[in-house]
Amino acid sequence: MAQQTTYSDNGNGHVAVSSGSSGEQYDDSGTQEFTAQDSGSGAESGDTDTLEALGLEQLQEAGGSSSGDQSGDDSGLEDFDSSDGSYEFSDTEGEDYQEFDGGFDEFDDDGGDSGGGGGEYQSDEGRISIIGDEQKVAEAYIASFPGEDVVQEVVIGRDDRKQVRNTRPFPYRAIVQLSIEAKNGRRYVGTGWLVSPRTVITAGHCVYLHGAGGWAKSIQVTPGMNNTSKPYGSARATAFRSVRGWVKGKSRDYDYGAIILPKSHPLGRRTGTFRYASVPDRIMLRKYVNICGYPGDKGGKTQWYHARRISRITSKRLTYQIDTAGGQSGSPVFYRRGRLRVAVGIHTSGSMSGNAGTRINSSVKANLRRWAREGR
Amino acid sequence: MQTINGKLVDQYGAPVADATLSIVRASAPVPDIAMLSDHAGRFYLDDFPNGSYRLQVTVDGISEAVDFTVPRPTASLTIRINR
Repeated sequence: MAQQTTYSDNGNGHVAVSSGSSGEQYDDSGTQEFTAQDSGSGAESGDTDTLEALGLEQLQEAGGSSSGDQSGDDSGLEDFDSSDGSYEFSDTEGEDYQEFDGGFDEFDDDGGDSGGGGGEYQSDEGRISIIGDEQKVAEAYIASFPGEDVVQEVVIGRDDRKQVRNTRPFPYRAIVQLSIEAKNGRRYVGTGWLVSPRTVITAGHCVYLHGAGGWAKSIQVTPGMNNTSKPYGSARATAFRSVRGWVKGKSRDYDYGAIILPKSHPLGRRTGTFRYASVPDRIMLRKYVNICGYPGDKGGKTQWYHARRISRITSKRLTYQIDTAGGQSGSPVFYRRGRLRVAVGIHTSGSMSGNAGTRINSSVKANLRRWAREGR
Repeated sequence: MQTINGKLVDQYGAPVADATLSIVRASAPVPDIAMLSDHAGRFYLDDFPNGSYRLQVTVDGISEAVDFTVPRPTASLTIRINR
């Protein structure tokens, strides 16, 4: 297992840890901000609900004419300007990524045999089957868990996901496909999103795989992948970040992490970057939010999105009825604010009670900012 | 909670490599990460809660789904896909 480097320790699950594979050492414990100054400023400009939800953005950008300019209303925030493929980072100490129009909530985010002979189960399609005693297994399951025999949906109801046909416009180009090789050689597909030239945010379980040897061996990062097309190139990364709550605690509440790209591959300079924010409940519940990523049921090499309102919020988790599938772990949960895209969560899991992700609260935001600075 | 050792084979029993396997329906929360089968057709479902699931298998332009349940008596799941 790779060496882990602890940045700082304030006694909760958000203590950042590193794969140690970069050979870099960090000692900036004095700058960690676990209690954010949630004093956002600036009026919200225009309708902030996403247009991706309506498919309009795709129609507008189908010709690939979008500038991807994010430099509109920035309310004095740090500026990630992708308008011309350049990147700016105004590193003003104490400045915050907070978005929205003031009055931010404070979040409490501390601490956080049924043997039998043979047989074959046939699906309706008849082209795929489970070899063995599946029917008896299913009967045993139903007997053990009455009332739970119905397979609930991760793709909820009708599959409303839409394919991003052109991944070159922002924000699609800032969303990356992850080809993950675990320490034990297993391979997985996930999703991430760029927040600075060399920093990709994703789910914790995409960088630290508890059942597959811990820290990933390597991850191939491809922005805007579209089948065989890699319009912004690709980079192999071996430096990863997550937090103690995930690495040691395996807690879904802390399922987030980052990939630090090699210095030779500042992919975010060309793609532009997402903003991220810790957003109060009352504002969050007003929003349509998007999830855009690389679902495995579509092959894992094409980008798909869907949008709906958030249905349930806790201080650490977001739950929504947005269709997802395996491969979309690490996708940004984001809304549109003018030309900006603001992430409020990191998609992690699917279940009958709604698909869910890690909420970007003040502690998560502090770590994202730390990791973004690493990848400047 | 159970870790499932999976194997994907074709109609002749030969292993199917480089298939993308993705959970599309689940009765309990599972990570939304997709798996790729290895050269021996093996794949793994780590720490799955007891429940019922639908697994979508995508390979060579074919995409098919199969339902299964956890726990499994032998912690294994062998899937045959006709190509």
